[in-house]
Amino acid sequence: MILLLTFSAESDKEKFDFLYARYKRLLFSKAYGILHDHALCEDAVSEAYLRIFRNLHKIADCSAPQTVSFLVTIVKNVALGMVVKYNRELPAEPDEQLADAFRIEETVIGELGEARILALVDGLKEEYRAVFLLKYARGCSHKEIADLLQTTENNVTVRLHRAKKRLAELLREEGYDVYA
Amino acid sequence: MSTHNQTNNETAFLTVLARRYETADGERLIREAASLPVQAGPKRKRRPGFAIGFGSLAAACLILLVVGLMRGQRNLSAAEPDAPRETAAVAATTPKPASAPAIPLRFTMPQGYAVTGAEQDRGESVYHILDPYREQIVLTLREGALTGDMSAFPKREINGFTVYGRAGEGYAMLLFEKDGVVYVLTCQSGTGTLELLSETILN
Repeated sequence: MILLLTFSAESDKEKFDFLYARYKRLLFSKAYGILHDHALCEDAVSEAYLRIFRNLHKIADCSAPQTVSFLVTIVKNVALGMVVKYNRELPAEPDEQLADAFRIEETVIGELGEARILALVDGLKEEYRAVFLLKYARGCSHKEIADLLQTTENNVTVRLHRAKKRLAELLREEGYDVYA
Repeated sequence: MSTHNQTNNETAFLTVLARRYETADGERLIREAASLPVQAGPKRKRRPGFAIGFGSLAAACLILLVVGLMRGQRNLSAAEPDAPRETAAVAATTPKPASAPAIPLRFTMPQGYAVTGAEQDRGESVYHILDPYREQIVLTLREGALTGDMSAFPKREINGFTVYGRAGEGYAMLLFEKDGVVYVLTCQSGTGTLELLSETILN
């Protein structure tokens, strides 16, 4: 795996070096879980680090758990994109009627423990989870998400809607009143 | 509730949910990363069971040592039935000249993995393997069944086979049995690379 990158600041280089050294095996492992091919995994990890390099400004604390989750979100979506590419499937999501996804009582979030939050969001398909996290945890615009995930803004909108719809379903299964 | 308030409510809820998930997921991933192999400097060749530490791996070592001693005693008694126990101890620690492994590898190395050395040591065929990140793995094969109390080892299924594994500071190991051969894989750090190799072996 060879990455040729030009850094505008030494601090960026140090940040990238840290992220690369500390997490490349984790990212490789996550990519392997999807691709089951070492050569493809190396490509996926390289591509993920390129996208991370372009979005270094979004990473404030390299050691923070949120950063690790962000990196893994990127590599998983690169890997899934490669699956789509090699399977020659159409990546475009069909249009559908979009509306506000749901309403929910504000108190609900305080009732959910970490394990239930993990189970809830883990219940989303990877491509929906990525869009959901980039939008709400990272505050990315639809255009930024489309660039990061190498897809269209329309796909981002549709995936986000589906993510919210699925979350509403999962919350209803837990007994909460959610209006989708 | 107005549409504006509804959107604010939704956004606030989803933002808190996403951020709490990202934190919890990140903490989960950091724990996972800690169990994966890390890049390290040049490593010495090591033998499973003896090199993986007598500290925190007491239970694992105990099993390996028991198995090793039983095997050593069995080999010794076959060659020298009346040899005293002290002689057995000396024989067990005396280096033997390396020879070609008796048990061949019955799988194709996954891409990026390479065998860097092989030898026969008493009843064991020992292979030294480098993974794509130059982590050194020692794979030991011996004919027989995996016996003994394996309760100290967390177990999981890989391709329908039961695989036992342990990992800690400075060691990782996996054990399983396939086609009458016991496989023991060790490296200096996490089980990730061992699992990748095991998936190929157990395919």
